[in-house]
Formats: sequence, C-alpha cells, structure tokens
Amino acid sequence: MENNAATIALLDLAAEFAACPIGHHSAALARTLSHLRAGQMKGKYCLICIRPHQEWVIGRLSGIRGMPPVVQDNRVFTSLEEAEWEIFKLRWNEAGFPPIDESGW
Amino acid sequence: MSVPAKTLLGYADCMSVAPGQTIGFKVSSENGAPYRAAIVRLVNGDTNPAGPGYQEVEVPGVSWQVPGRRQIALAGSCAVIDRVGEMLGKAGFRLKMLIWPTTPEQPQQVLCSLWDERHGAGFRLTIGGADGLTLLVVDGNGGEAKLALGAKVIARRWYQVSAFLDPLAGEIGCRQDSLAKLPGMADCGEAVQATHIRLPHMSDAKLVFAADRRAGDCFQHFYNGKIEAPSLARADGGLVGAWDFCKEISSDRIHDTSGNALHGRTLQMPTRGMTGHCWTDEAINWRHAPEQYGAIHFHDDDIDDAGWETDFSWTAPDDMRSGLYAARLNSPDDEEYIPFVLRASRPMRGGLVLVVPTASYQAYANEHLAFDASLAELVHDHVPVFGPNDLFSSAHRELGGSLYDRHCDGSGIFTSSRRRPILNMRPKYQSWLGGTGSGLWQLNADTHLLAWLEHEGVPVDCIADEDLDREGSAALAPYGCVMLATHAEYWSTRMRDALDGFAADGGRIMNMGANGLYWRIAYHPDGTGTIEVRRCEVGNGWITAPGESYHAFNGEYGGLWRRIGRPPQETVGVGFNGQGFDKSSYYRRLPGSQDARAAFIFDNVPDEIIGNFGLIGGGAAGIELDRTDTLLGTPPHTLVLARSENHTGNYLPTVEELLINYVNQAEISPVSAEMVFFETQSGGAVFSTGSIAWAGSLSHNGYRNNVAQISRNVLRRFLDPTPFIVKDPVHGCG
Repeated sequence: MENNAATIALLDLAAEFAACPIGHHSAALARTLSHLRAGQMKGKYCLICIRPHQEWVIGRLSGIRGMPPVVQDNRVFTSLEEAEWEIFKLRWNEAGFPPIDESGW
Repeated sequence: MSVPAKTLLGYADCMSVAPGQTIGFKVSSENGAPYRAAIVRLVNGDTNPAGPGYQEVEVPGVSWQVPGRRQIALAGSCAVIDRVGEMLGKAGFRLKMLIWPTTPEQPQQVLCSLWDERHGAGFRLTIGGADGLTLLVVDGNGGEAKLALGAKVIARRWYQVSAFLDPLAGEIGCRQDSLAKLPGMADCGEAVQATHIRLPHMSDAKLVFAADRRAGDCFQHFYNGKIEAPSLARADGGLVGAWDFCKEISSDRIHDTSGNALHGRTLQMPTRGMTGHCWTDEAINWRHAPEQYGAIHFHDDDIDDAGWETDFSWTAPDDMRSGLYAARLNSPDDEEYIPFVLRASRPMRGGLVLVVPTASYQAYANEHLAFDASLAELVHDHVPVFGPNDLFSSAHRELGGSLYDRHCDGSGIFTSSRRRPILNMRPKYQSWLGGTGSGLWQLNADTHLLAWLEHEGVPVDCIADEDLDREGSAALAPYGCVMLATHAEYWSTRMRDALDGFAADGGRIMNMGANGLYWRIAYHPDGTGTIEVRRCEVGNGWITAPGESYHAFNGEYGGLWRRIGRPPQETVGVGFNGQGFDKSSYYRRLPGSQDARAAFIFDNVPDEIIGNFGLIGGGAAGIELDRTDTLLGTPPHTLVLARSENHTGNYLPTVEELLINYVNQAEISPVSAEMVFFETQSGGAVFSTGSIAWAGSLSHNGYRNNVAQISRNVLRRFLDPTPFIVKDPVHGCG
C-alpha cells in the first residue's frame, strides 16, 4: 500500500510538471526537480537552439572546459516546454522512477 | 537538422565613439570567407515573433567588402623583461623565487625562462607532473642538460625554489623548500648534477616569468599560480635583476630593484595586489602594507587584449544622431554584430540621456556559468538553452570568461576586457539568464528601451559607462533626465559620484531596470577599458580570498556598494532583494499610487494590476527585483507605488539579505519588486521600476498598455524642467 501511494505521489509530480514545465511548482515537485537536476556537469542535458524561437534539439554537456555540448539525437522540438518535458522524462527514467504512462492523461 | 556554426566574430577598438572620431573593427572570419560590413543603428534587438520584431536602421552609403581572414586569440599571462641575456653574459646563472602553484599536476608550466632565438639557447625552470621542479638548459650547439627534482608540489602552498648553472664548477642544480612543512610530506628536495654545458652570450634573450617564448611576442607553457620576489644572478653571485611585484601594482609594469633598471611588463593582465608569502591579517589593503602584497597570480587563460589587426574603420560624421550602433557583418555562412555607442556631437541640453551599461555588459562577457556550474539550471529552474554564439564561446575559452566565471585553476576571474570578441553582447542574442519568452539580458534587453523611445519619438543621447567613468559629472551635466538601463549593475566610484551629483543638482533619474548600482568596479588607469571587480564579503560565482579584496587597479575596497556604505537605495530608492529566472509576474498598486504627488505617473492608468504581460518571462516584474529599505537609505518620503506578487518559488532572496537560513524562508519573506517615486533636492526626482523585466512589457499591444503609459507619463514629466517641489509629504515609506 505504502509503495503504491509513494508511486502515485511521484507520478502526480510528473503530471504536475507536464502541465507546467516552467513556472509555479509545488514544494514536492521543486525538491524532485532539484534532485533530478543535480549532479556533475558531464552529460548534463541542455537545449540547443537551431532556429531562434522556433526549433531546439537536446544536447549534453561535455563537462570539459573547451569542449562544447554535443547534440543528443535528431529530434527537433518546436516548443521549449515540449523539450523541457522530454528532458524531464529522460532524467526521470535514468533516476529509476516509476514509468510514466501518458496515455491516460 | 544542423546546428548553425559561428564563422564571424570581432570587436571594436573602443566602446563608444563621438562624431568625428574613428572606430576600428577587428574581425576573424573563421573560414576565411569574405564578408560585407555595414554600420547600423540598433532599434530593437529582440527577434521574438511575439514582439514588435527586430529593427535596425542601416546607415546609408557606409559599407565595406572585406576579404576574410582568420585571427586568433592567445590567452595566458606572463611577465617579460628585455635585455636580461645581455646583462647575464656567459657566467652561468642563479635563479630564485617564491611560488604558490595552483595546478601543480598540470605538466610543463614554466616558472621562468630565458631564451635566445638567434642562438637557439637558453634555460627554463618548470613545475608540473611527476617531474616536479625541473631545470632545462640548452646550449644552442645540440647540447642540453636536464635535472628533474621529482619532489611533490602541493597546490596553494608557498615554496621557495631555486636553480643554477655554474660553468666553473661544472654543475646544474635545483632546490625546493616548503615554507610551511607538512608532516610526512615529501615536498622538499635538492639535486645537483655534473654537466659540461655552457650557455653562449645571449644578447637577444628576454627573461619571461610564468611562460616561455614561442616566437616574437607569442608565449606558451603558461604557469598557474603566484610568483613572488624572483631574482636572477650570475653564477658568481653578481646580481642581474631582483623584481619586486609590490611596486606599481596598478600598472602593467614590474620593477627591478637591483639597480640595473631591468624593468619589465606583464602581458594579458595577470592579477596583482595579491597576498604574498608573508601576508598577515594585520593588513587587508595592499596600499597599507605593500610588502605583504608582492605576488602576481598568473593564469594560463588570462586574456586582456586579443591583439587583432583592424579590418575596417569608420569615422562617424558630425551630423549622425547618437544611439546604440553596430558594425553588422554578413558572409554567406554567418552574421555578426559588433556594437558600440555613438555619442552626440552636441549633447541635448535638458534632454534625455541613456547610460548604456557597458561595464555590466563587460562583467557578463562570454559568461560560461551554464557550461561550468550546475547552479545555472537550478537558479533559473529550467534547462539552459544555448545558441551558436554560446557553443562557439564554449569551444573557445581563449576568448576569456566573465566576471562570474573561474579560471582553469579555480580562482575567480577578476578582470574583464573589451579588447576581445564578446559573443553575448549582441542584438538578436538570447540568454539563458533572460527568462522564458524572448530570453533577453543586458544589451539585447536594453534595446527594448531604445525601441520604445523610437516609438514615442523621444530623442535620446547615449553614453557608455566608460565615458561616465572618464568624464564624471560633465558627461551628465547637459541633460535633464538620465535613464538607467535594465541591469546597470556595475559602477565605479567616479560613475557613482557623477550620478549622485547629477541627482543633487536637480537631475531626474528614470531607473528602468533592477539590481543597479550594485557591485563596485575599477577601470584600469591606462584607459583601455578593462574593468576589475573584487567580490568580497558576498560572492557570486566566486569570492575573494582573505586579504585580496582591494582592487589592484586603484586600491579601492571592492564588493557591494551597500557594504561600502553607499547602497543603491540612497540614489534610486530601491536595491536588489531577490531573483528568479523563469517566469515573471505583475505588480499590484499600493496606496502610494493614489497620493497626489504620484498623480502624473498614473494619468490614464486606471488599472490595479500593472504589467501582467510581457516578452521577458510573461510579466513586467521579474528576473531580478529591487525594493525599498529605509535602513539602507531609501528616502523616507519615497512613495511605494506598486509591489509585485505571486512570483514562482524560484524567486529567492539575495544572499546578502540572509543572516541565517530557515525552512521555507522564501515563502515566509517573499521577494518582490517595488515601483517607487521620490523628489530630490533642487527640484529633481527619481522613478524606479524595481524590475529587470519591465522593458520587455513596453511593446505589448502596440505600446498601448499600462507599463508603457506609466513610463510615458514619467518620462514626459521628467523632461519638463518645472522643479519638483514637496512639502511635508503625507505618504512615504519612512
């Protein structure tokens, strides 16, 4: 029961983030975001703008001075919020959090 | 999908130019492609399709077709002394110095070298890697002698090191002594080795500290760390030179005390006024005990002057209107802008002047926080977004960093030069610091002020911070109203004096941003425009080490103006209280806005809520926020007209406001922007928005909105010379 409740609470935070990736966040979501965003610079996600105000791709930092970020893959996002949500999910999965099922949203 | 590559970059030889003067532009075309250059007046640098659109005006008849060439920047500081080889002769040498290395693990860092290109002979003393202290002597005839001590070198500890070549004894040797012994630490040693090597008479040789000479004035194998009191003698003991770095600290000169007048110079601005081996806490100002400040801190990534050749120049005609201009460069692959301020040929008497905060632009020049520090994403609560200029500067650290970044060795960057490409001081540039929406920060955010003035048809003269520092109050005296830009954060004492003097003389100040008048800086006395900051007591990115809080450029104490006794609240009514970098918010009017003294400000503004729209984070109150504080000098009759509310949880108090931490601190004491007005002596007045984001709301709905109307009302009245008179104010914050 407790595990289920914890899982549901976590997934609620993911839903909260999906609804508003940038802006007002609950204290619980803010704590979770700090956890997901902490860590070393090497491999940290970033966004690279390929057309101003129109297109972005996900990149990863090298963590090495003088070595620029590299593009993660060829997916092009046309909304910053969409890209932010995608990075959230990548980190969520890497953290071993319960799988997010967006089909019911 | 491809990421646009940056192939054009450059800088100008000055930050501002007056009609009749010539400005030179230095450009690198990275792929050698030719480009067209033109001069444009910048009106609105924001390319956000949700806004009024990018706008510039090309100066007719001024363009160049320039054959492209690549120019490179070489970072790394050192000190150079001419004629040393001539003085040394052939009698061998004895070299001695104190060192405080910061990256001893990094191989091949030259502490001192003497090299004669004509003979291909010389010596160098290095540290780094497993070899540790190492002496190499090369005779120019195929012979060389090398002696590596192999003793440990611990970072950030003082050592006395020495090396010699004694041709009569047929020996070379080196020695390392730790000034503070650590138990069981093998970080001292001495070695002597027999040799037949001899040095020729190296009449062309220059002595170099912290690097060796590659060719001409190019250097390599830079050292990270402090050097103090180096001296060079002949092997028989005859002194050649003894350099005392505590003399002429504010300059690029180094002083020889031997009597041989072998004075030298530093290159690429290593840090001076730094504590030496004998520093004690009895002196914290290098002017009071210079003998304790005999160290220079060298860095392999120091850069003060890229030294590029001029590619084209422009002489501004006499009738050209003042403004923010740029050289626009276009090649088939790229576009670049090199901004500069064009001053008025005749200042507009009683008119408006915008102080373009070029010192603050320099402070953030080529900022790398989002590449180097995880705090970047945490402080603005979303993933950093980078454009082509950011990617280029992340790959070209030789262009130098900002005053928020650290050197390779972890020490803070204290100085920032304009004699290098500054890739984030550009129109069309989006910054991760600029919140959501347009992503505007510094210069590009300030163009919204110019676009609004253009829309209003209000003429404005522009001057640069550097002009204000150089000319003082004379630069402002002709004008009736000074406009401060979105984030005029860095101020020298002369700049502060000029602004305060202007206000005392009845001048009006429209403070259109926030977190202004915050850090004290010093401009370099040689007029090259380099600024220095010593972030002490409160840091940001880094903080000064004990005893190193006084600027080398002028001996003034560094840090926050509020800690120096001149808080911004004294001049503009408000001061920095908190920041966030995600969404902006709105203001709610307060009773102060109903006071008759403020009636002119709210003429045609019936709304209770102000600025719930905008291109910077979606609101007029955001990014960095200011508010009143009577304890910090807000005049007691100041009317607080409106206060922002409903900021996200990412908006947190500034660290100097915190004396202790507690849970949910920001919720209990939320930060906010306060919009204020007060009258000053001699009929003057001050209006402050208290928010960086304000400018991003001006253009909303075709400039028909309450932010623009308030700004319009204030500007109209502030340009009216009728004195402001206040008697026994009923309302005020005091």
